[in-house]
Amino acid sequence: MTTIYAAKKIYTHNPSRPIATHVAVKEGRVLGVGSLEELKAWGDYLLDEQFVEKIIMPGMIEGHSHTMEGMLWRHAYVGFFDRMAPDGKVWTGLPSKQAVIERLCEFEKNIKDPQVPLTGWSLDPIYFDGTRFNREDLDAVSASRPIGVLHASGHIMNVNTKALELAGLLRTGIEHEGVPLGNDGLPTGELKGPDVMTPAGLHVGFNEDMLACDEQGLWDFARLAVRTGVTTATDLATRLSDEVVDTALRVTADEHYPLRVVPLRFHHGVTPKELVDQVLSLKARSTDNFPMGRIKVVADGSIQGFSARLNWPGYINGATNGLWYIAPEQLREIYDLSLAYGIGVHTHTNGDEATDLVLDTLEAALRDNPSFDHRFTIQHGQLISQAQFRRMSSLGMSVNLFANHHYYWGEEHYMQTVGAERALRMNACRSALNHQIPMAIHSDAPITPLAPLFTAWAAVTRETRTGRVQGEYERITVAEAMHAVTLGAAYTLHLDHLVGSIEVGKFADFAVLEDDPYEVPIDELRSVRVWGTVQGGRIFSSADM
Amino acid sequence: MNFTSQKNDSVLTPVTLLSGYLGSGKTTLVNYVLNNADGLRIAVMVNDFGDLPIDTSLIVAKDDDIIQLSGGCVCCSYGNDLVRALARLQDLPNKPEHVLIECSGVALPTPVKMSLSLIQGLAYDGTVGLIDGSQILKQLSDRYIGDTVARQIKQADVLFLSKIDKLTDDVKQSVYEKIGTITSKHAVGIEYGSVPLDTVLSSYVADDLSVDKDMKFQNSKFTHANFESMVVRHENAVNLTILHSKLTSHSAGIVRAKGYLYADDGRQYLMQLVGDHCEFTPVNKIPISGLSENESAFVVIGIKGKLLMPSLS
Ligand SMILES: [Zn+2]
Repeated sequence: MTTIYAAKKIYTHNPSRPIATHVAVKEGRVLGVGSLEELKAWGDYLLDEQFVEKIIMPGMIEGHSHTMEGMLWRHAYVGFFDRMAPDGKVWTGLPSKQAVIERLCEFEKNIKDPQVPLTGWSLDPIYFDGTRFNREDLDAVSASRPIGVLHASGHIMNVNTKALELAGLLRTGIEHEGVPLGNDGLPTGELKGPDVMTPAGLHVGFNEDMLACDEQGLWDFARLAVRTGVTTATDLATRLSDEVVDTALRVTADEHYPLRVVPLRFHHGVTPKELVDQVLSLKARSTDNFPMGRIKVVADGSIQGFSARLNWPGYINGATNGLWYIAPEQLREIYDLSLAYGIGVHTHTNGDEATDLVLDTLEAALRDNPSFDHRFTIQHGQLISQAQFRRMSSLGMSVNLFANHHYYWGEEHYMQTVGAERALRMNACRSALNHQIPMAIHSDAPITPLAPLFTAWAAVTRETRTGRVQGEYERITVAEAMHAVTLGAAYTLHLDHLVGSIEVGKFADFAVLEDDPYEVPIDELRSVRVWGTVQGGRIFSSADM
Repeated sequence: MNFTSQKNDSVLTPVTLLSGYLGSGKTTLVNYVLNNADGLRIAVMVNDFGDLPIDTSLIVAKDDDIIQLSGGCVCCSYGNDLVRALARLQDLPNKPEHVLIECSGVALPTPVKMSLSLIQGLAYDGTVGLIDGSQILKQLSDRYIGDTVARQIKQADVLFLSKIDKLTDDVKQSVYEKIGTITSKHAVGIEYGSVPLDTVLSSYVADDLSVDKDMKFQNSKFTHANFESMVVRHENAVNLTILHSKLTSHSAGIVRAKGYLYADDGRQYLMQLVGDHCEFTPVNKIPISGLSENESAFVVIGIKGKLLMPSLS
């Protein structure tokens, strides 16, 4: 049966018919877009007018997120910024250490079992004038229950004395730069870096494999997606163990599951050959809502963690250059095999030296494995220069820039990491488009919130959290940003023939909005209200989530 | 220099790190060590099971996470979580007597070394750095990995140079000179991973110290063209700080030292030295027969022709 939806306005992102009033849907796909008169030619239909006062646009696509955000929401959110939970409640941001402690106390009161840990997330003391947390602060919440609070960066955790004790870390003699010690020679409770966090994390409510998402997490992540108009989202670094794949295939096949989850297999832990073999065999098990067959490589670290690989002159504070997370030879082998077998590879680079390595490696790999539509994508690419964009364009690369980063940490980059000039060119959307590079923009949820309309606003305005515009030249138009969060992201995933626009034959994936993102004043783009989504022709309202 | 607080040294499991870029011969060395384990229960930890670095002939059984090797040795993967993998090893029914961690090709050893202090019961036993003699000049001038390889060399306590047999003398000379600009340690040439095990693992350093009184050379349990060892005995109390600086000075040519000291603070210590890293652990009683209370005795292993024992007085 055909359903025709009437809307106030439909933005299709299909240039031959950019705007319409009606869209016909059949078997989960778009049968046609146009006026009611035109669509009637398809025969019997049911007219659905529930969206007649609403704006319909292509369902938005988050090209760089992690489904683990869904799992974090069962814990106490203690971030500095307001943030919406899967149930729609907006948790207010916490402006001080005291406020963080108070929220943790509220959560603590509601946990009956004294053995159960208290877990918090998204702490960012950077906003509290550098006030650090120590174990005594958290002991004030509870001395008997283990407590762990993950920082917004995902790279630091604060724990209380009980948690240190359970992790075997409440002792002297620890010599580790990730474990600061107090005057008593005991750890202060701040744990930096994965090798310290992971063992302690087990005692404070975090999983062994923090990248693996469970069933409830996948549902909660999808509820957030509906609330933000997202119908396709990547899970950008997963090991895709049998258990994770089985769970995800089952959950995403549920008739009420509203999201396409696109997982990318993290390169770590297997040889390039095994990586490609695994991805190829998983690709064959793909479904419409869980398309597999892609790889994520991490080349370097992060800029604010001073672990990104930078070209000369490096960090403004003189910090030693960062770390490689893959050897150039291994990167080459992954590229060679992936090009040979037609697998898409997304490579995380933050520093410009890491981007150079990707360009050099891909150029050489392409010479041996000519490939005309590889769409290899640089993820983050925060410091890509004009010359690098020129090469990316020649090599047929795509890019997914971290537009949100600018808002949350732009001030820090300007002052503390790379200095003014390079801070202006970070996440350079205008330059990417000028060089005709297919571009997406992202949140890296849970690092920053899943909300493509906010991400679009961030790319359009380039405001930092203090309201200062940083890198005016790199701003893009609303239309360009809306393209980036739909077709732009779809293209990087080789899914643009299926999603990203409202066009005959494609999946009926729509975002249903209360306000018109193309018409509202630019500053309101980030707060455009989302009614919900249509995904594969099924209707999901935020209110029901 | 470190003073360990744990009194009972015997429960600490020594952990040796094996560092080096791709192709430097880490896998060959691991297999050499395992083939010559000689009854010592060694646990080899690798970053992943992707490129299993173990001769298949050594494999007895495979469990989920742990591969059983002949002679009671095991091999296990640590992925992203070295600390928990190490903790798990401690719980094995047949706890390993020595742990050898093979770092990934781009990893720096110092962070791995720091992780060891997060777990009780482990003692750092040095970083063995491997250098691919045939590639090192190219690697060090590579714009991407040059600084990483140099940092790996700088952070090693003992350095071996592999694949030098086909190099001309001129090239060999440049290799040594280049390494000399990075570290004051001598890189010792090796073939096919064959190294004296007592330079890699302190567990193999002979503890039979009841030999001649006056610094006589003795044959190492493991003969090698490029190394020699000697036993040092000393009758008066030693100053640990002075001893430490003498043993680690470039001119002493010492790779490892292990033994017992009577110090000028009136206490007795177990000394374990590898490269620049030295631990002094207080002991209640020196477990060597024939040694009087105020006597010290230790073995030093060093590079042949360069091993000099500076006067202790
Ligand atoms: Zn990410």
